[in-house]
Amino acid sequence: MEIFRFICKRTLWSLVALVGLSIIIFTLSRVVPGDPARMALGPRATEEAVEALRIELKLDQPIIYQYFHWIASVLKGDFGLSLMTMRSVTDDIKIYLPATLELVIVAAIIQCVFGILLGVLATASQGSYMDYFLRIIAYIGVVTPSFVFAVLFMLLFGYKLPILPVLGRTSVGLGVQPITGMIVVDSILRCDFPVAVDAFVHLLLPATALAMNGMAQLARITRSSMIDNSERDYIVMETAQGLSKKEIFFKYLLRPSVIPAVSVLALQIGALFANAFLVESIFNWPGLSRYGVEAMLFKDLNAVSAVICIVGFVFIIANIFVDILVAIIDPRVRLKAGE
Amino acid sequence: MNDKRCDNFGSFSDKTRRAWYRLSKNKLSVVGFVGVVVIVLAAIFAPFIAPYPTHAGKVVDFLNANQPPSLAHLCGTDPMGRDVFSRIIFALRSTLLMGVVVLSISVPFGTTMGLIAGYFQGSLIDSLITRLTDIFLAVPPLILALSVAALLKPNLMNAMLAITITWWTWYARLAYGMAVTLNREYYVRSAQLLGASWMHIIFKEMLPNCLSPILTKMTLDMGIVIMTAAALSFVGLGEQPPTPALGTMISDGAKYMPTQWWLTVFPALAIMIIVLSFNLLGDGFRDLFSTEEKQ
Repeated sequence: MEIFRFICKRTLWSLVALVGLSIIIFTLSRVVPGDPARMALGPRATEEAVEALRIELKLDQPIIYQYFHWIASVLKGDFGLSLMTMRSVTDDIKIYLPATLELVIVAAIIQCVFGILLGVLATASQGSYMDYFLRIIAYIGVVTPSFVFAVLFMLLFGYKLPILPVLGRTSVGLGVQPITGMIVVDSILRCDFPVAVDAFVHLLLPATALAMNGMAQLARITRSSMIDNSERDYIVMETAQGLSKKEIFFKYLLRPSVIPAVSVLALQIGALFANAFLVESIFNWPGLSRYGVEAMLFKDLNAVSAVICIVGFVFIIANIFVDILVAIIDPRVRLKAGE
Repeated sequence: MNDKRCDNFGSFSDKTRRAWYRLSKNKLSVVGFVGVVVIVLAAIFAPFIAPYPTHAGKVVDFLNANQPPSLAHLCGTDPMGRDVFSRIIFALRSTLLMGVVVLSISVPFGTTMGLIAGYFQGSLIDSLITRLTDIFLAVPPLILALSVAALLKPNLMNAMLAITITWWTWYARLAYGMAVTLNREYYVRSAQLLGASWMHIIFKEMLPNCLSPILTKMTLDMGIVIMTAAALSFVGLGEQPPTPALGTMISDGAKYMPTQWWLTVFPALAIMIIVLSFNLLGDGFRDLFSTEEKQ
């Protein structure tokens, strides 16, 4: 139970931090030079129209009033009007968020499964050519930004080796009535399996490009922590007691060794969201992050603040999720929290 | 610099020689070191190394546009007829400048904040600084940097500012953790009893003992800052054309993709090589400092 008190306390502080961040972003967005109303309507709009929009957006009020007005409507779930799409930001987010969530979730699964797997494989073949090969691959994965992976994958799979689709969420003409907005989930729920397969295949390249960084990091962390742990006394004792190598490896060595990998997962999920900003634009993926980049370049302040809030919120949830996961895997954390 | 540790006898040049000997035992660190030196020299002497130094600016040479890599143009030419290799060499300048400026502002600032918060642990100033870092860590750094850079005018200065704002918090965290442990050390206690000011304790007693992890993190961070900077310039928030930047070159090249692959692949390779060199060197430093601590 103590662990839950700890998680609640941390979550509360994260929410406070998020409010702090919203103040900074809000202030910054209101003090930047340039009139948002004028920018939204373009240079040809009349002065009266601009003035009317300025009053509608409450830009004529003092900044503190603007902030409280904004935060009050955010709490009601209303992020205001997007100057880029001229629609409600909340409606835009409802359309775009599921696409990004789908992408990030698949990327997170790919990077966890393959990252830890590669780490285990490298440890098991420690010192052999396989180990060197995997370490080089991991090094390349760490030093290459994910937008570079995205561009290179486009080049490789889109043109030289066209086996996977590179643009959009589904093939043209295919689609499904949204329930959650995640096409793979929706089409399975509606028993429309050809669409599910099509959507999944479209996910593969962007998700892999996104996952490469984190995958390489996880592989390196898993390898080094497994090698550290394999010198521990309890492993030596189990070897002396004659347990089979396989049993020691999978039953006793793996579990404590994945803990460091799992604990960086929250940061990595954050990084996935961040890198999605670029990868989505490259693969023409209609998600929240692409929307975010476009809004940023358009200086669509309401949309930018909304995207940052949403990402910050998802980040908090990812942190809670990882805290709970670590507590499940690592009994020491539960004991320490109970003290 | 740090005369309290017993393994630091000898003159400065002796110490450097010993450190270099240890570093050079790991071949990969040497590769990283050589890579970093070559990159820095190439950036400094760019006008002399680049085969077509004028191509870093506004030059149009349609006769030689879209040439594939050849001996005359090692990495081919772009649709304007400019030599891609020369542009990459010149792009190294803003790339390195970015890393150096960001780290040389954010590291001293972050470290000082962290040390102050750690030294006055439990006080009001500690919670103020800690909450402030929490705010900046509430969203992933790249997203914060992107939005700050986008809200300001897109240029190199503002991109640096945006990354610096997000970067200092990591050093504040690192220094905070170390300061909290160092608080219990006898030499800090004795300095306090002798009536030393907090400034003296933080900068003269604590700081020298935090330097090695901070320097290691700096070398490893150089690569990450460069990747972040490339991401910013990829969306157009960084060095503005015609001055070359690696991220911009990749995003421009991507438009001409399958046929003119050299426009994307070579700048991408350049980023990978730069980051790899700094990472290898950083790993070498980490091993170096951790063996020093073991002895």
